[in-house]
Order: sequence, then structure tokens, then C-alpha cells
Amino acid sequence: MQLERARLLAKELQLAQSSVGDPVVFHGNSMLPFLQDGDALGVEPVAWKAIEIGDILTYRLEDKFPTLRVVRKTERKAVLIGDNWPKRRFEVWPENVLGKVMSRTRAGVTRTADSPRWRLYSRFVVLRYKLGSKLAIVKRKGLKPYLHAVVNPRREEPYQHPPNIQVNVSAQCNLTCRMCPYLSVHQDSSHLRFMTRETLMRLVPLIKRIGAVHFSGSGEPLFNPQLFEFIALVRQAAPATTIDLTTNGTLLTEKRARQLIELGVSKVHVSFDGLPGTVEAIRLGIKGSQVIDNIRRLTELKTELKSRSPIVQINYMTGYGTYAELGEFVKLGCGIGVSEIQLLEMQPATASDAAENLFHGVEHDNGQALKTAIMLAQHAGMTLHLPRVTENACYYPYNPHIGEDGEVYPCCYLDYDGRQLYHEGQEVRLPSVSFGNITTHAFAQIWSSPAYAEFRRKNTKGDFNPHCRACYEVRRMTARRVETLLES
Amino acid sequence: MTYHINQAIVRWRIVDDEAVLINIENTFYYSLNKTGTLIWQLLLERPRPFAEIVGAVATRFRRTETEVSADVRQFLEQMGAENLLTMTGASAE
Repeated sequence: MQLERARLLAKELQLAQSSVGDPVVFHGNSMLPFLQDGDALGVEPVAWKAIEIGDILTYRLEDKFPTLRVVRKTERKAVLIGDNWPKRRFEVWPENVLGKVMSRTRAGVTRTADSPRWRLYSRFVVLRYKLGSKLAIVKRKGLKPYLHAVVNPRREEPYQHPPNIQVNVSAQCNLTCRMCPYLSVHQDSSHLRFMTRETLMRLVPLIKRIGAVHFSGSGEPLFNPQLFEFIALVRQAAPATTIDLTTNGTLLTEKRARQLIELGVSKVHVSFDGLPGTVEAIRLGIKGSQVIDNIRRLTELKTELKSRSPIVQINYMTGYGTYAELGEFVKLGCGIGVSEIQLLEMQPATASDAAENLFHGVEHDNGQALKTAIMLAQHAGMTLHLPRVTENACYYPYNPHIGEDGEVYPCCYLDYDGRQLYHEGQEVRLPSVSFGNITTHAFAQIWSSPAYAEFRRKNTKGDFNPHCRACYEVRRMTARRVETLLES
Repeated sequence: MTYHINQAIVRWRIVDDEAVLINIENTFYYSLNKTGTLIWQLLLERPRPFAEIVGAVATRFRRTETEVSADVRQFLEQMGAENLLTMTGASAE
């Protein structure tokens, strides 16, 4: 056994016995005022079932041993907060818990967990947390969520226009990614390379109305020489618009990073899977370390220019063995200023793809890599988004994709030539579904067309056509795998 | 002589056929290899005399008792010196 690992295990053993042996010294300000830096704690092992709301737990997080208070608990997971960090949530699973804090000694005075004052204070903190949670929701969303069932019953068509649109501005790309469904588009010389200014202008009134747009591409958006002009146009027409950009990060020079900041782009999604050294085998042509440097420079510029935007999110595809590197990537991302990581399932196109799909073959892991990544992200203040799917419904059609040539597709799976999907032992060819072209018809007309409205209605009620069913089933399987891993 | 784990002061964890022990009195910690972990696991089941430990180790690693005896004795003496094991009864070897 490596010395470092033995040392950590020994530290855990000592910690869990601190109530009878040497006490553990608490460090930090997360639990002020109840626990102060320098307090001596007595920790005892505790069975999961015996843990109560309000208990203070010490748990393992790689080489660290955080100590926080339980505010929610299920059979398989607990949610903890720091008394001094009430807005942050930390999840912990049974196998990571080392023990419960049973005593605190400060300036020679010892308080124990069974004392009335300790219990009363614990109840106070939990109550404050619960009230704070409810108030935060009311503050963010108003009272509507609580009155929804009474004053706003579910309507047939919840949106008069899409809440967001994805605008593909470039079909040119410098990478050949193994899982890319657009390789044929990249190679098709008859396919329009870049969206034109004229096409984009037809979308500006809609963008102004909905207040959100996501620039992406079947290729790399930064290849479009007019991209920053597009962003500036949108920003000028609708100053409050949320503008997102997806990129592979290879062309994210310092100059372009500065432009993104100055134009007020809200979020940059960088597609990156695994650590440098691994990603090169997935996104052929990429130099992983260069992209990491580009991201780092972007976040440094944000600091220099005193800007909070753009937020940097990594779109992390967990196929091809990248799952095992998730924890290390979270740490790497923290170091370069990444705020969010979205785990993406790989939609397999072939049988071999399916064999390397999200989390496949990691049953022996019992979800530990994912749980560790979640805990690391939470402690770093980073958001880790997991693949989720709404039960028996698909809302993708409410986020239409606009192709470079102006075609309006309901989602990224039914665009261009369609897509191949491996499902239940068969390779299924998804068709291309377009409801119109904005260069010839107004978007409002396309959106309200009976065919598109019917398509949306059916998808949100689970009345899928066979192709949508196949796509939905693959995504649901992935989401279920995530849930299973977290429950194991 | 029968060997016992000194449960009053020793805590341990076994991970992947290797054990980490800690003396909670002096906080010294020890890492055992697979052979040491095997012996530790034998003693976890119940206190055992020297001969029984030697026999189990020899069987497990397909050696003769003569071949393993010296190493087992040295291991047990070291563990005893560190107060991780206690001995009872007269020596019968």
C-alpha cells in the first residue's frame, strides 16, 4: 500500500476514534459560530440509520475531512450545510461518513451532543435553513410556484414562443470527434458553411422577445468570421439578452476571449472530455493542454476586466472511459475558473459506441467516482449538472435549432441529415425534421404551424413517434444509470 | 503462546488485501502487506497459537511450515513490541 494512502486511512481511523483517543482539531470558518478554528472535537462512528437531522458529521473527501451539519437525509444520501455557509449544499453518501461529532472542547470547556444547549442550537440551525430555503424560492420565483395549482393550471401549450433558441452559425470544424453526428455535414461541400448576416437578422426580433439565444454550430462557431458581429447585433438590439456560446475551445484566443467579455456573453460552453492526454483520442485534432490554457486565460481576463461573465461551463461527455477521470477533471476545472460542468451522455450510433457509453462497465465502481466528483464540485463551489430526463416527456422541441441555412429543426437529434442511433440492438436512422426556413417564412409562422404545434404537444405528453421514442429511451437509460450509481 | 489483538488500543481497516492499523494511544500507524494482513485477519477471527498461525500461512502460500516459521515469528514479535498484540500462555514452540 502506498504510504500516502496508508497515512490517509490512518488519519481516518484516528478521526473516527477521537472521542476516546486524541481529539481532532477543527479548522476553518464553515461552522461558525458553533465550531471555531482550533476547537477540539470528539468524533464517534455512527450507523447511517442513527444519523438525525441536525447532527454534525465528519466525512471523507479524498485527503480532506470536512465537518458539516445534516439538514436532509434519505436512505442513501444526506445533504449537509455549514452553519456559516447556509446557501451551499453538500451531499454525502454512507460510505464516506467517518463519524458524528459528539463533543466540542474550547478553552478547557467541553460541550457534548446530548446537552440541551447543543440540541437546541442544532434545531435552530435546521429551522433557519428550512425557512431560508423557502424564502429563497419565493424571492427567486415569487409566490407562483405555490399558487400554481390554483391559479395557473397546466395549459395545453405552455409557451407562445420558445424560451430559448439554438442558432448554428458554422458548419466548419477543425476537429474530428469520434461521437460527432455532423461529420458528414462538415465534409459536404454543398452545405452552407456559415450563417449569413441576413439570416441572423431575421431572428433578432425573436431573440429580443425571448431574451435568450445560444450560438453553436454543427461545426465550430468561432470559424464564422461574423460571429462577433452577430453577438454585437443581438447585444445592441436587446441589451438584456442572455447569450450563450458553445465552442471546442481551440480557437479561443486571448483576443476572442476579450471580445466575449466585452460583448457581455453570458456563458461559454466548452466541449471537452477527460483530462489532457485523454481528450486527444476522442476529439481528434485537439491539443487538450492548449484548450485548458485558453480557458484559464479567459477567466484571468475576466478578473482583470472585473467582469462576472462569461460563466465557463464544460460540456463533458462521459463515454470512452472519461468517467474515471471525472474527479480529477473537477479539480482541474476549479483551478482554471470553470464554474459548471454538464455531464453529457453519448448518444451511441453503433454497437461499439454503445459499449463505451456513459458509465458502461463501471458497475464495480459503485458510483464512487461520480459521488467523489459531486462532492469535490460542491466543496469547490462548482455546479455539476447530471443527465436527467423528464419522465415520459421531451421538451427539446421547445428549444428549436436553427441551421446555418435557416432551417428550423425541433432539436439537435432531428436536424440536417438526421442521425443514426443505436437502440435495443439495432442501428436506427433518425430522420431530418424541419418545420420551415426562416429565410422564406417568419419564425412565428413556423412556430405556430399546426405540424410543429402538434409535434410539441405529442412530445410533451410522451406520445412519441418511433424515432423520438428511441432517442428518449437512450437518454432515459442514461439518466437511470446515473440514479442507480448514486444509490449504490 | 496464544496471540490476541490488543483491541483496547488498536483500530484497523482492511482495503484490497492490505491493512492499516493505528495505535490510538500514541497515534502510530502501520501498514501491513498481504501476508501480514492474512495473519491479522486470522487473529480477528479468534486468538490463535503460534503453530496454528504458521500452519495457516504455509497453507495459504503453499510453503512448508519450516519455510514460513521464522518470518511469522519475527512479524508477531514486532507486533507485540508495538503493543498491537498481546500474548497469553507459556511458549509451546
